[in-house]
Formats: sequence, structure tokens, C-alpha cells
Amino acid sequence: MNKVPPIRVNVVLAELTFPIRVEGDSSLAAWVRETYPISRDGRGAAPVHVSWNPGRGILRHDGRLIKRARSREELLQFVEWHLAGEAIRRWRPRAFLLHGAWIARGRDGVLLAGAHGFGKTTLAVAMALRHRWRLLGDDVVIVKPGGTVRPLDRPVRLKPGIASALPEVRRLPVGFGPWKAGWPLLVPLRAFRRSSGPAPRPRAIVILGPSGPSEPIVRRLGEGEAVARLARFVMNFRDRPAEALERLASLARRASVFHLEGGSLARRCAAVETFVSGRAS
Amino acid sequence: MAVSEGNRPRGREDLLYQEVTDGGVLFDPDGEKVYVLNASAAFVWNCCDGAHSSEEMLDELAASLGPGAPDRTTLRADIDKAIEHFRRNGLLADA
Repeated sequence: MNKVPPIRVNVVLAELTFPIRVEGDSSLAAWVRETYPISRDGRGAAPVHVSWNPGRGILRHDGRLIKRARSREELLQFVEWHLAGEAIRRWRPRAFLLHGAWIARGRDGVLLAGAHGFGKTTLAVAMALRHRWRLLGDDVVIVKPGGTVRPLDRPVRLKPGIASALPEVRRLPVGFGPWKAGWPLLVPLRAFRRSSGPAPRPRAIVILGPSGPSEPIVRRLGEGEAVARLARFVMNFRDRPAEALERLASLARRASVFHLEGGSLARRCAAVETFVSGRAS
Repeated sequence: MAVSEGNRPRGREDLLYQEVTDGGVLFDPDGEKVYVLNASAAFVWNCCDGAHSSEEMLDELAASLGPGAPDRTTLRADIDKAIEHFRRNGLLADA
């Protein structure tokens, strides 16, 4: 282990800055810098404190113990989870947070929504690796006042099983040590982005049902049904339900909303292409 | 089930209604359920203000649809069906 003096790193996540004090191991600081955009490092105290010594990892926030970890991999998972949770907590009062992935081709943004396990991440990653779309965010999307959509740009969590559907993930420029240790891989978004591009606008919203071997069933939803279905995926809907309904109605007016059920990964990718090409009905 | 003429249904005040292009969406915070209303059901909901009888709803709905409106028997059946749906799902205020 290469022990270094504590340093402070300013992580940028979803337009928020999280000063982190990193202590104990130079590889830990390197991981933070590789995983997140960083603003200019500063000095002084930082609310989030991460330290790693062999066999002992500690994560604190404002002095409060968040997690003790026995392995470096476990510690990194919790750092990532904690930062995402803090970003969600800070965005919650001023925007709506929707479970979904945000992908784009040029200015055309497609929001992939759906329950856990219905293939949002797999489809988003496939569109990036196979079809050169930009993967801008996975897991949570922020719907701001005025209808702008931006991702919670946390690393993409890839479980080992994704490699069987998408072997291309093994060519990502990341270490695969976490999989060997039984943890998801945390892949920085910059590993997927081919280039920066214009801020996309929501052109289509796809609500995913379970995948399957058969042809996908695609149904374009009316605005009412779109709002009703999307409401299920808004994490803070109950905080301000009237405002959430209005925001979803605005989104459903501007973007075509589809329900996509069944279909292989390849067929689903093809369907997503039609949603922005104007060929989908 | 026909709605009696004297009945002036009123929607529960705690429900949230959002208009959309093709009708409306009703959210019941009690059961956390969302109901999708087509255009005519949305019209009926907006008339469930305790002031409209079903006959008055019928007159207004027919007027809003103009010359191409379905006949009154059909419209009356739509209105009765919508009100019954609201009643069955507990969306109307108690009489």
C-alpha cells in the first residue's frame, strides 16, 4: 500500500460539489479522480471523509460514521452509493427524480424508464457500445422545473450477468476486480461517451416491460396513460404530487411515450432507433 | 346503472386532477392510485362539482361536441358509466 498524506478532492456530481477528504491510500484518491469529474482541489475540512488502511475502510459524513468496510471494493461501493444518495437528497426539494436511464443521439434524448430488473441499464449500455449513442446517465434522471432533463451522472453499476447479454462490456477501459470479489463494476460515464455533444431534449420516453425472446410489443401511449405509468417511477412523487403530475404532463406533451415489452436486446435497440427516427407509430 | 336526475355528484376535494391533451389524470392520495380519464370522462369529472345534474352534464357535453356529437342516448350512457366508475372507486364525496 502506498500511503500518502490526506488530500481533499472536490467531486462534481449532478451540478453539485462534494468535497471529500481522502486518507490512507493513494489508489483511493486515484479511484475518486478516475470515477468522477473533479473541480479544483481545495484545502481544509471536507464533510465526507474516506480512509483506507489494509483491512479497514471507513466512510464518515460530518463526523458521523456511515460505513466500516473490510475490503477496498466494499468501501468504494459505499462511497459511490453515499455520494449518489446525497445528490438525490439535495435535488429532491427542487426537482423530480425519476428511475431511468438517459441516452442521446445528437439532440434527441431518450429516457428509458421502468421497474428494477427490466433491462434499462442493459439497453442503455447496448445503445452506447453497439450503436454509438451517448450514455449520459443511468438509474436516476432529474426532471427540472421547465422540463429540462438531466441525468444524475453517477457511475454505471454493471453486474457480472450483463456480460452474457453484452460481451462488449469486457472491452471497457476499467479493471474487472470488483466482479471477482462479487461486487458490481462501477464504470465512469466517460468510459461510454464518445464525445460531448449538445444538451439533448427529450424526444422519446420508453417505459420498459420485461424482455423476452419474442418480437417486442411496442405501444404508443396517450398522454393520460403516459402520466399514470410514469408517476410510478418518480421517486419523490408523494412529496409534491400535484406538481409532479403537471411536470409529467408537460414531459408527455413534448416527448412521444412508448411502452416496450418483450424482445431480445437487439430488437429493443432497433426499436429505440425508430422512436427518434420518426418511424415508430 | 342510470344516474338519477336529482343526483348532483361531487368529486372528493382531496383528489388531484391534471388535464392532459386526451383527457385527464386523477390521483387519489388515499390509495395512491392514478386513474386515466378519456376526454368524455374528464368532461364528466369536471362537471362533478355538486352543481350539475346528469341531465345538465348531458346538455353541456352535447354542446361541447357540436354537430358531430353522438346521439343523446349514447352520451347519456357515457355519462352514467363515468359517474358509476367514479362512485365504484370511491372518488365521489359522500352525499
